[in-house]
Amino acid sequence: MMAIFRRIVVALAILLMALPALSQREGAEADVKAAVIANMMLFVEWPLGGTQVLDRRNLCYLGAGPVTSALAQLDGQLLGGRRLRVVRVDAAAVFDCHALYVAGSEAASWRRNGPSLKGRGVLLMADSAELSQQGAMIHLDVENGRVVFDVDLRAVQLSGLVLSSKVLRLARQVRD
Amino acid sequence: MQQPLDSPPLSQRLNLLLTALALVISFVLLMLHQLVVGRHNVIEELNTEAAIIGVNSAAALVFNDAKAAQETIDSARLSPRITGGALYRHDGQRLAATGDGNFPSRLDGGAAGDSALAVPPVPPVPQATSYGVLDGVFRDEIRVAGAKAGTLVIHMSFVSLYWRLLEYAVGVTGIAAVALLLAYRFTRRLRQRTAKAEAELEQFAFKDQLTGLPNRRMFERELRQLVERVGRDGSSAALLLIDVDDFKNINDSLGHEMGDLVLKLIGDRLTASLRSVDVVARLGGDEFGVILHGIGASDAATKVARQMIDAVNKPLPTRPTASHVGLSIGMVLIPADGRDANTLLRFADMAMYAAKAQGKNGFRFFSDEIDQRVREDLLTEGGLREALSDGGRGLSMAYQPQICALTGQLLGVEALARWCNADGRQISPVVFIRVAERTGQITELGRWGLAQVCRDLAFFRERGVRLPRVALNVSPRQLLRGESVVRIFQETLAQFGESAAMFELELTENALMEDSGAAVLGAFKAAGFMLSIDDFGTGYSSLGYLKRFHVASLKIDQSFVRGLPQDDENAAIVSAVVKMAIALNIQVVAEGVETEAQAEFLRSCGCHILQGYLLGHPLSPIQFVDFMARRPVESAPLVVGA
Repeated sequence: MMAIFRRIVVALAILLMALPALSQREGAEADVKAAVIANMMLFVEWPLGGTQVLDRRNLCYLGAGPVTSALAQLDGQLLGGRRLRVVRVDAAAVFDCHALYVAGSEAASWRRNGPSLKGRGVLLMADSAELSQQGAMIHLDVENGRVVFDVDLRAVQLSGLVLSSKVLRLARQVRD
Repeated sequence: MQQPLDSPPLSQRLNLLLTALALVISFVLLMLHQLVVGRHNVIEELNTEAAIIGVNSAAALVFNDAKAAQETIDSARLSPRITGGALYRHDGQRLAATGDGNFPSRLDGGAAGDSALAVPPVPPVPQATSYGVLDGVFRDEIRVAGAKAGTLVIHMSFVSLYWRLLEYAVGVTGIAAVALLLAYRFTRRLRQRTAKAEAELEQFAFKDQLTGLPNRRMFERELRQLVERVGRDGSSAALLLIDVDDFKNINDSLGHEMGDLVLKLIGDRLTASLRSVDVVARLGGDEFGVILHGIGASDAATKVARQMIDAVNKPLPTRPTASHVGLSIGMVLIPADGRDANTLLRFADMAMYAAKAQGKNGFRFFSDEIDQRVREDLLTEGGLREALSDGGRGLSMAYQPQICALTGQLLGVEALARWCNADGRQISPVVFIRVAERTGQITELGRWGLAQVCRDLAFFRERGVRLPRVALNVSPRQLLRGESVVRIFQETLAQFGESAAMFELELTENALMEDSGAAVLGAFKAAGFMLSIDDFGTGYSSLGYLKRFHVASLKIDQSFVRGLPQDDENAAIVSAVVKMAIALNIQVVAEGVETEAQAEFLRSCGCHILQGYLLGHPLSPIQFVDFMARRPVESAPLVVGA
């Protein structure tokens, strides 16, 4: 199980090596983003009093897109000793999620439901520009052929989560 | 005399060497320990640093962030021991590297871009952490939440540790050297004092406490050095051995305190009469030694000897009465008389004894004559000892008749010791009696003599010769033993069944004058022996003693008889002595009568008993028997009452 996870990371790393040549390949980019999203969960602490169960990691996604497809591939993997569950959810019913990826296509519905998720200890991640303004804690982007991310630290803190400084260091931008 | 300080003795040097060796060994062990501990610490720190790097670079590895990884690995360079590092991703691809580089782009195995032909060739990363003497390679996995995220490789070097140790070693050595130097400097005063104390102690070892003069040890050392010097530069010197005459008397009569004072005064006077370059030492007891530098001729030495004797002869301020002493000095000249210290001392000793024998308070130079005499005396002593221990082999008694001047009768004999030694030579009694007296063998000789006379008396009786009386010489030395000598004589007589009345013991005048002799003589008298005074007129006499000891006869010394009748003085003396003897009812015998004229004179004086070559030579028993046989019959022995 661990090995499988490792294999995925290895595969992703290999892909990364060939990134400059493959930068046009959306699929590769989506895979990398999915890996980043999943790995990000390794560096977050969820509060004890929260609603989420702590022996699992539930990664939920909203909407559809290349990234969500890649995320779906990761369902069942072991992530840091816990089983990763990747679940598609509806905008209205976001329960029991450790992290939520909102695809760009859901930007509109997000405007309606997003604010209600604040404070519920869910790590909100997105890769579209509009969502970055609307409460996404981790915003993924591509710069110079590399996948980078920005962190909205205030949003993170407001939701009661603790994001490891190791990750903050890697962020392109930290807003707080 | 100032002595040069000896270089540190071997034991001191050895001590120093061992101390230095111990210091070096402990230093080496200390440094080794530092080395081991140092390396251990370096490795521990490295592990810690690697762990920190690992934790800090975990996220970068997971997220494949080369920039962040580079920042993290660059921080490794802050440690002086880390010369380079690299982070490898999970797939073995190099993510970041820093420092002395040469990290392969792939962790294990070659990759595109790394060929064997690359210049310079890149060494592979070892499979596990390994440390060499100078440097090492650290390799460890970086884990995130239990899963391997990548590999950390660090190049490290121990060289900085070694430099530090070297600095430490140099520092320790330097400090130790400074400390030792300071200690050495500060103890210098102490060591100087110690050396001074040692020198003083040496001085004490070389000084005679009573007189302050050098002692025997120092004197012998001086002598040895002198002999060496004489051998080297051809200078000369004189050695004197001095014995204080009759010092025993002073101790006996005035006490030991006065005796000590006398010795001290003698020491002072000797020193005063010599130059500062000369050496005066007290060799012990009442013996002194003197070295005269540069004086190698007898004239100069004689002058000095006379000066010393004169200085010491002056009265000594002792209590309750003043006293006088004399010196007997034996002298040898260096190198004339010898070149060896021991020989020179021996010769000087012999010369000193010769001076003593010669009459004390004088000096004698060593000569071959003395040497010869001493050698002969030694031989004589040895021979005599052998003879005596062998029942008197070679010894015999000779008998010289004492004849009545009027009737020609045999009135008695004087028994004289004769010795024919192992070589067949006749040793003169003058020699062997003298030697026997000096060595104390006289007592045994005397005992043997008495026994032999007894044996000869038996022999005479067998041959029909009856002797009226036998005169036997007794040495004052024999009297020293006290009255035991009387007992021994009585035992001997008893052994042979002879009577004491038969014997007349001849003693010199001086024997009578000695206090110790008086009691013994009384004992002899009481035992029935007759006493006669031998060599009368040549020594000291108290005429009162003649009466006191009931002396039976006087023997006028041959020196007075020789001059008769021409020498008026001798004639007067002899005549007076004879008259006195007759008046005191003491028999008088004249010794050394060799001419008819002498005999005639003596007869006319009234001296009736004559002894000498005219009357008869000393004869062996056999010869004597023969002598008696040829005499006219009317000279029947007459016993002269005592």
